[in-house]
Amino acid sequence: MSWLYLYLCQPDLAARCQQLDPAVAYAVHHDQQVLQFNQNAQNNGLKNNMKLATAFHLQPNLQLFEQDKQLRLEHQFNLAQQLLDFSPQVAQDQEQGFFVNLEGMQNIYQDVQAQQQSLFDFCAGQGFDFCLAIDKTPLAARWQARQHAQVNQQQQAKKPLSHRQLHLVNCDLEPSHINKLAAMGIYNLEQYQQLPRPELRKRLSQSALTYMQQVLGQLSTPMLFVETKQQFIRKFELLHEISYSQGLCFPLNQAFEQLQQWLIQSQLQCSHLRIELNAREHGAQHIDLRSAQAQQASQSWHTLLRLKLDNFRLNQAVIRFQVEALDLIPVGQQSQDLFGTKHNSPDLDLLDRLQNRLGPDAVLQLGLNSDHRPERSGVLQAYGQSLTSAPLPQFRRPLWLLPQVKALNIHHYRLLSEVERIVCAWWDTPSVQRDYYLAQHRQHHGLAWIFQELRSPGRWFLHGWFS
Amino acid sequence: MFAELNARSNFSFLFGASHPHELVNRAKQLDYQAIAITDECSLSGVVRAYQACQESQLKLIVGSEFKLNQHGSFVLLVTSQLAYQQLCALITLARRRSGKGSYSIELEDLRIANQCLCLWAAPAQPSLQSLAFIKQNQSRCFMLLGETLNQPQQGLSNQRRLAQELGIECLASTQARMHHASRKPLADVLDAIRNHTTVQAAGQILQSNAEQRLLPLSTLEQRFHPQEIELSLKLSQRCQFCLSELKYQYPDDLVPEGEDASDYLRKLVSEGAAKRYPNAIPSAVQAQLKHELELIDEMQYCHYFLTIFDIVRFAKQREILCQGRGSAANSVVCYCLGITEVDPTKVNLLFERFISRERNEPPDIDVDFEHQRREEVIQYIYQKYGRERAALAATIISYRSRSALRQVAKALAIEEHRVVQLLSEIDWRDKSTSCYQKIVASQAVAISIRERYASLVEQLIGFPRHLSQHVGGFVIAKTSLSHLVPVENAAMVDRTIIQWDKDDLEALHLMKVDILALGMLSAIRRCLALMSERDHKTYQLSDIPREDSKTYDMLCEGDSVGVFQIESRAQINMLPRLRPRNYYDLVIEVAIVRPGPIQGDMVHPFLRRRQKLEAVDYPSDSVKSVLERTLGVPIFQEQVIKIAMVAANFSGGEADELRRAMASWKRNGKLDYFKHKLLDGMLNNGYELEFAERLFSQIQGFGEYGFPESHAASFALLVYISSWLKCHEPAAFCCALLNSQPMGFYSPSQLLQDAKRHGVEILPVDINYSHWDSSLVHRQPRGAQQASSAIRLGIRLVKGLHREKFIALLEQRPERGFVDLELLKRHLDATSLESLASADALLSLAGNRHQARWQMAGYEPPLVIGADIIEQAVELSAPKEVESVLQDYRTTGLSLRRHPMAILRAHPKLKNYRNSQQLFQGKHGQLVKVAGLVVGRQRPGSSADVTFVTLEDETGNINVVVWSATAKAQRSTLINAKLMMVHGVLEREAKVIHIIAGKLIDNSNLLEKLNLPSRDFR
Repeated sequence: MSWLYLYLCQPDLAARCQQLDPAVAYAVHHDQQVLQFNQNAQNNGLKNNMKLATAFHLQPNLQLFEQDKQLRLEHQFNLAQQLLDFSPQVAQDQEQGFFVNLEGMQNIYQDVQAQQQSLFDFCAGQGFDFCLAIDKTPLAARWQARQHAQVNQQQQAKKPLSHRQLHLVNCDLEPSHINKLAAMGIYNLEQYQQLPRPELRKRLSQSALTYMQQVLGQLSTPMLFVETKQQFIRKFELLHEISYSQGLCFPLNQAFEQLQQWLIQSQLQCSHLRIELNAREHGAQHIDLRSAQAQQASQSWHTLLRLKLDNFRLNQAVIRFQVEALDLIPVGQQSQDLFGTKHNSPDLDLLDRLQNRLGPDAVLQLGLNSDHRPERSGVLQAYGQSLTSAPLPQFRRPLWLLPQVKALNIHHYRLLSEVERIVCAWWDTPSVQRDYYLAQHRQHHGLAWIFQELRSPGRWFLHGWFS
Repeated sequence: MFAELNARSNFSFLFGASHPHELVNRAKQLDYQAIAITDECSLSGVVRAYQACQESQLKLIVGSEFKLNQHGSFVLLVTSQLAYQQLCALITLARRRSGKGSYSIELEDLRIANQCLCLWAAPAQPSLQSLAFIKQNQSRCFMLLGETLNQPQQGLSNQRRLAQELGIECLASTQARMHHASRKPLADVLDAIRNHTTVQAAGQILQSNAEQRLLPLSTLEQRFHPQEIELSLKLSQRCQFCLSELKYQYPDDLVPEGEDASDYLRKLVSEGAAKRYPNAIPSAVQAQLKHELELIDEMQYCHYFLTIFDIVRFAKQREILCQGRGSAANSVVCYCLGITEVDPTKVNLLFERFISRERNEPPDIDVDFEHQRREEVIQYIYQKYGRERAALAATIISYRSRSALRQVAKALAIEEHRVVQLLSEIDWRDKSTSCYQKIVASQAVAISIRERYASLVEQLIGFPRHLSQHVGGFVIAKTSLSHLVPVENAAMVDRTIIQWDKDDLEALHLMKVDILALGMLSAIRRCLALMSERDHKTYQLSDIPREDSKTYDMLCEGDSVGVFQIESRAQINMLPRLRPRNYYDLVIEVAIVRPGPIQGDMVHPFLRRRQKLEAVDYPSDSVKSVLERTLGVPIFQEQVIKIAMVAANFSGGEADELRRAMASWKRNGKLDYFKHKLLDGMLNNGYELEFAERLFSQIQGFGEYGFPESHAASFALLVYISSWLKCHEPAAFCCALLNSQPMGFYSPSQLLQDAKRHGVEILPVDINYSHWDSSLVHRQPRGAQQASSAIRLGIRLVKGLHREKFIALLEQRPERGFVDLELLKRHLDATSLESLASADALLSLAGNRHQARWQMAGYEPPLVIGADIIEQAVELSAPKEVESVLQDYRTTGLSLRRHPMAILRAHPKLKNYRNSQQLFQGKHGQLVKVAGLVVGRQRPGSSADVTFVTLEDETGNINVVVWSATAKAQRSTLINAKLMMVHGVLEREAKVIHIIAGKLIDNSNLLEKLNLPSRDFR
């Protein structure tokens, strides 16, 4: 067996390397310490776990990024998918690297070296710091890669290190065990192998012994291999071009039926379809169909499509289209509220129709915001977001708040209430310095909510109506 | 006319947005008749308010506010001394029930303060109990109305109606938490900080406007009824208590029955004087004693001196070394009572610096005790006077620049790394620009918020955050302390503090005594005990011969590692220049290496005159009498005061004000006033302008860092004693220092290396020979003429071990030592065993440390008693020298093997590099290469352009001077290197050697995993 380990020297930087200019010194930090940094920063004296204050002393123009676990995971997930091109068995190793089984690809690569070289070329093209190493077991390969990265700074280990050269500090024993062994003068794998097992078991834990046995190939190492990401992206060529939107119904329906079959086979559901319409000339138009609930049935998509097409105009004649299924979730993973609302509730159907007919931005819900500024105290949120809440103000607020305040002539109004003074949000735009009153229009007797601008006394504005 | 009766200052921590004096000044500006500072369950701010009111001539009313959740808020105002005592007792009760910084109060508790006026801010739905309480206390309760324009009018109407139903009157109030609307942003920031959020996210936690502030009368008249405003005045007139009425009485427990305090004190002084001057009391001393005792009587300080005497007597009975310091050392009475050890006849001291009629301030006596036994003294005070009568003074922890920067940034949601960047850009030693200017000049913070941020930071600096306990300042009273000032819990268990700090105490003429800790006293006592044990006789401080020339010879060589006060790099460099030959020279040595004399440019003139390179001249005989002992250069604060008096006709009081202004001129610029007075006075008396201006510039240089002569004199005694011990008893002295850690400037490793260089033998930690503490081993090798002492390192030096476990084990150690590991395994846990093995302390039992670790790690208790567990034998090789050294440092922080630099000396990279001893053969101006472990980096405030780096090698220390340009160009090496190689120029002045750095090379990789700490000082 031949295992390769791809070691990511700086996994957080790897996630960002495509967007960053190597001429600039940059680093990833967390908890006031520098964790990873590029060559430019290293040249200026930055070291691992250095305090940020020291780092700034050494490199005043250092660009910093907070460690972002989500970004790192996404990057590694995508990288894992790409590594499947080189081997059917790829396992992600926490957040540090990947195990790649080099067996079984002899039809494609003549030998292991060629396979390793291809991998090396691929990784080098990605722009991040890495190290590759090979050994008989996955854990040994990882050890080799780490050691090479520490000792030789080579990116590709040409020859495996001997057991004498493999230092315990680079393996995955717990630090307490490594320290314990070092305190006894045991620093490398060769020295470790010379010690009797029963005595070792007393001094280390069983898991430590098991680990070493896995490194040496005496026990196998369980692996969880990466699976190919499931996706539905299909292109469809039209037999003749279609110039009017309703004409798309039939061919799209065919596509929805294919989608339905694929979803059923894959045991998945989908809540978002993106349709790309391509014309003969340049440019494409997109249609997004969203559902409040994940669907499999083509009929549901068809219904939503018809609503959408009512308001949709083709810019050019369409000769082909692509359907991509997004927001895939396994069947049965539909979220339910406390009372077990059914998946196919009429409310959600109505919501689907409204959103697809009018657009998702047209369907909103009202939440309360904890802010003294009247224009911020109520907030319209997209349907589906959890509502914010805040205590109600003591003073009354008008039902109808004008989107923009309007200047008014105060003589047309009679003040009915005491003043409510709002002076706040000095850190933001708009900040507010106003005296509010309930007032009545002298002519039509409407009850208004008006204010005097304190920064320019004498200027009055209408903000809303009670009735 | 109006009186604000519910103003909260920033002593309502993280709520009030103005200082007490700001509220007072603003109230005066608005023509208020009076103001009540009513911080929440606290009187911490009232003294400051009192001082401001005295300056502004505005009436201060003392009070406090209590929040009782569903019952609303109650403000209690003090009407009389009895009411004041009740309020203090109530606050004490509420605070003592809770942990530090909080309070717990019930409605019923308010009855304690039944002489106070009670203002009630009723909630929207008041509880039945609160209504009942008000009805029962109608005559002194009033409804507190606050119109802040953020609640409907009906709210206020409801309160008025409720008041009418309850039969109480309504009182107008701004309920101010700030003096001016411009403080609203700061108030929002405080609210955000208090609620652990940002201003952006705080939402309705923040107030919707800035109306809770002191308002003009015209505005108040629009918002309140005339009778509500008038009531504020009527109530203020009922409050007739002033803080100046507080009569502090010192405990009189110590005066024997039938005797008078004054007579008793005189008796004790007389007895003490006879001991101090066994031959005859000099007439000058007698006259001085008479003068001091008369003044003490007149100022009624007898009990104070008796209290201090009693504490010191307790310590001496327990053989706890102690010594008074500071201005008390000016007093012959203190010397005769044994409180201080400086014979005022030997030094030119100034009693008026300690007590004077003009200053009318209580004396302030600081006493140092052995740091490891100070707790015994503290417990004695608590036991003798009880927790009701004794408590520590508070220290007010305020926002400083860095903490203000961080907190405001958090409140404004500025990312933390931007704050770090900002902090790294700011040079705090640059006093020419304000904090505001520094922040605005930086690019770290976005420009949209920069100025606002800077402004808020500057406002927050100096704001109190919380109370903490003073290091050792005790207030002791004749009756319960809580009648005088509220008492609350400190963070430490069984500690209570009063709500006032030392400045408040001084303002109200209350006395305190400082029970301080000094590590060197512990070390000296331990050293004397070791000597006593060795020689089977008791050694005391008085047995140490004075003015020993060999001791001064040692100091003149700069050989002062471990010596009190003069062991720093700067002091070591000064010693060969100043060349002290007597006690007074040490007094000067202690005082001269300070930022004050350095910045005032006194050091070089003094040294030139001492080395007879410059003539000493005096413009007049009166100035000569003041400056003669320091060769015409003012070095001590007292000299400045004296010169102002003799040369510029300052009165004693004015001279003392000058002293105070010196201490704080950088903050408040008051020194300018004195500049004119001093110059004019001296010119009028015929002095040259140049002399006068030079003197004034020296005064400015003193700033906050000048030493009083009495203080230097007290310390110089300990300098001499510790020097003598180092010189004549190097083994005992080093052993005592080790056992008194943590203290001093140097690590145990450095102390031991110094001891080795002085010929002291050091024996390693060994389970069969070591005690818990380091100890002396007395030997007389065959052929040697006399016995010598070696130091056996103690088990306490091994990291991670606990004393209690080992004391029990060592008590069972057989006389010939342990023969196997069984007894150890029975007493100690695995971790302790492994620590001992790692420290090579089991060498005599288990072989080399690898073998010992192997054995300890495999320890298992036997399954059957007596059953032997047979293991397969494993032979592990001994560690190499380097590994041993590394392990030594890791486990004990020191090594007795070769110094790492000695091991590395053979490395090709270190060819032609000199060690510290070899530098003495070099010439001034010569190019040299040196290398060593970085054990210190220091950028003193008085030398902003330079970094001093101390390198340690196998023969000693090397002082490297890195100028700012070099530091900037090689910043990474300067900051990161653990092993630094330096190419530079040797500078030499007699025995003082520096290397002016040119090239710095970081070769830390040669050390691999060596983990020696480097102490970086700013």
